[in-house]
Amino acid sequence: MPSPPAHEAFEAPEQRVRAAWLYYAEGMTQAQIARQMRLSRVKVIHLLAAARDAGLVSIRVNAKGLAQLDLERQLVERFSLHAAIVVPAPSRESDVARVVGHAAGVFLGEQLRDGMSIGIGWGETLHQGLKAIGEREVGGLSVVSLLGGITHSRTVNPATVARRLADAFRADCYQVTAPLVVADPGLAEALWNEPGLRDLRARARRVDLVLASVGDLSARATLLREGLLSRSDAAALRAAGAVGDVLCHFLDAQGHVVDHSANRRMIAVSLEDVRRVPRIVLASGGRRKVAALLAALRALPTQVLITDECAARGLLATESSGA
Amino acid sequence: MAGRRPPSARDESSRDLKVRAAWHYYVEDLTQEAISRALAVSRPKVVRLLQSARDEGLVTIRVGGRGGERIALEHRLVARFGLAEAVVVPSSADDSEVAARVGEAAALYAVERMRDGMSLGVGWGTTLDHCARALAAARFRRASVVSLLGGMTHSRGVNPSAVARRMADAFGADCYQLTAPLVVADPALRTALWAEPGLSELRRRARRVDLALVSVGDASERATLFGEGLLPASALPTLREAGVVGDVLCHFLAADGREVDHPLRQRIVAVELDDLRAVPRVVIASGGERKVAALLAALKALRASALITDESAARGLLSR
Repeated sequence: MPSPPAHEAFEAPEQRVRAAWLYYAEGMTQAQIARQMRLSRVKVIHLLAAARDAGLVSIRVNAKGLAQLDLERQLVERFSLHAAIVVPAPSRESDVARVVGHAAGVFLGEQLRDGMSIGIGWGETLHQGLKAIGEREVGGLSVVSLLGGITHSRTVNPATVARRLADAFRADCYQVTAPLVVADPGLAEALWNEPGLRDLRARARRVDLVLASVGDLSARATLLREGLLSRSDAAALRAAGAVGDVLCHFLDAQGHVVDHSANRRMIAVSLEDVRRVPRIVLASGGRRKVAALLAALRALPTQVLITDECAARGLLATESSGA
Repeated sequence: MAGRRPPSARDESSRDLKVRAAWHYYVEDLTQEAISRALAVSRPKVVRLLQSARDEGLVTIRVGGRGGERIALEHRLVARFGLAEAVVVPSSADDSEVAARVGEAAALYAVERMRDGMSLGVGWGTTLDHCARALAAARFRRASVVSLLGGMTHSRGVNPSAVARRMADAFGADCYQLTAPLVVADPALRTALWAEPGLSELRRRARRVDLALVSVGDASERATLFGEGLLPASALPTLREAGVVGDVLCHFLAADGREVDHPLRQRIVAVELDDLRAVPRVVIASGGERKVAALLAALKALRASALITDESAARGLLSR
């Protein structure tokens, strides 16, 4: 492979901004940008990805289609929500987290006020959502992670989601300084008795807004992909009636926490605590999460649901058939 | 109250498609090709959907804060003034800082465009002085730098001959100087000087440069021309009265870009604007709010191919 021209070796932040501007604002193709910037096409693709990841590009889709509006209205009515945000279903199922996360990030960015306290979950959706939160001056913000951490993670880490959100707004960040999963349920109990974690739990109960997503129990769930939940535990949970989780509390279809040891080995702020929070926002989409979303909606007095068309249709169909 | 016509099904479905295309493209990062398959429409239709989604404000995109704003200004300048390129640098309240930033951007621009065998014509001024000082040494073969103005026997800071000399040194290029005073007392002497074989040869050379890099001055005491005492500040009122808003290569321009016939015109020894119009690529480098009128006049006087300026001047130019 020929080596790239010398000026491609260094990458000024300005270059990323320029490439992103030409692509997103001017609507130029990658090939046109490559010509204009005298760079290779590959380099342009790289610059665009870097600009997105660095949050340099803020995208807002300001309009909604009729189908979206109709689904939103039905969801609000059916689940007594304050608001619903339904985004068009992505063309690839694997992009659900990206599009729903985008809507969640935009929504959260608009909600932030000086002095506010945010409780946040984790997962691919929220991870993606971080990129979409607009830059704004918000003072005195605090972010509370509602789950324990992972000592080693490949992609998504509860601690990182809270940390990055806090960094974006120079907010105070409160973390659950404990593992997300412990082998011994007794240890989980002992940890919650620690003064530091008791404080954190009290703080979590007082947040103004909670943003959480839900997980299903399929092999594609983040918990399973990250190896935090074994396949045998997942099977046992399903056998016990679990359909998914919210904040790592495994729920049955009615929204009750199932009686299984896995539920006693996860370190996360309890759903009783979360129920006290005035604004609860759930963000998840995709066909495979319908059952988990329904359970979470029953478990938590949700104010806002952010999802995609597929899950919205699934939710409305399931509920009306009385499942 | 007469209601608005309710949107027809056709309006709505096309709006729906635009919104869908915008999500697929901007949020999901699908290619236009993939979107055309997902929405079962042609590829050109996808391009049109995305274009109107942007134009109608269905999707808004902001890129990178202030860096993005400058790039937007560059594009608007290119479109408005028919340029090939524009470079906009951050503004500063400090004049000399603006000159330094614009000058450095001009240096970068010059280095990137310079090629073996190329001939570069240069003006003078504080901005180009910064440009010459900022030039990184880069060797070009058979390159030449031509000064487009006469020189000064004594100068504190900025001297046209020094600007050309420094650039030639940086590029390892031959330097051609206009070996005459920039300002003469007697207009007849100016005519005589241009008749000299060496100088008429230089003028021919100037007309044949591949790229000319010039800046503009405003008609104020702060302009280098008056600040350096080359021309008496007492001439300013009569110049302004005659409609002068600034100068390019010491040629005084009215707001419409026309060269103003003032007695001083006959006393300046510099390559003519007509000569400059023969140059394929003319680059204007100047910034600062006070230079907006002069820049506008220069853009009208010359078919510039590039403009290098700062944010405040760019905004000023675009608001005219």
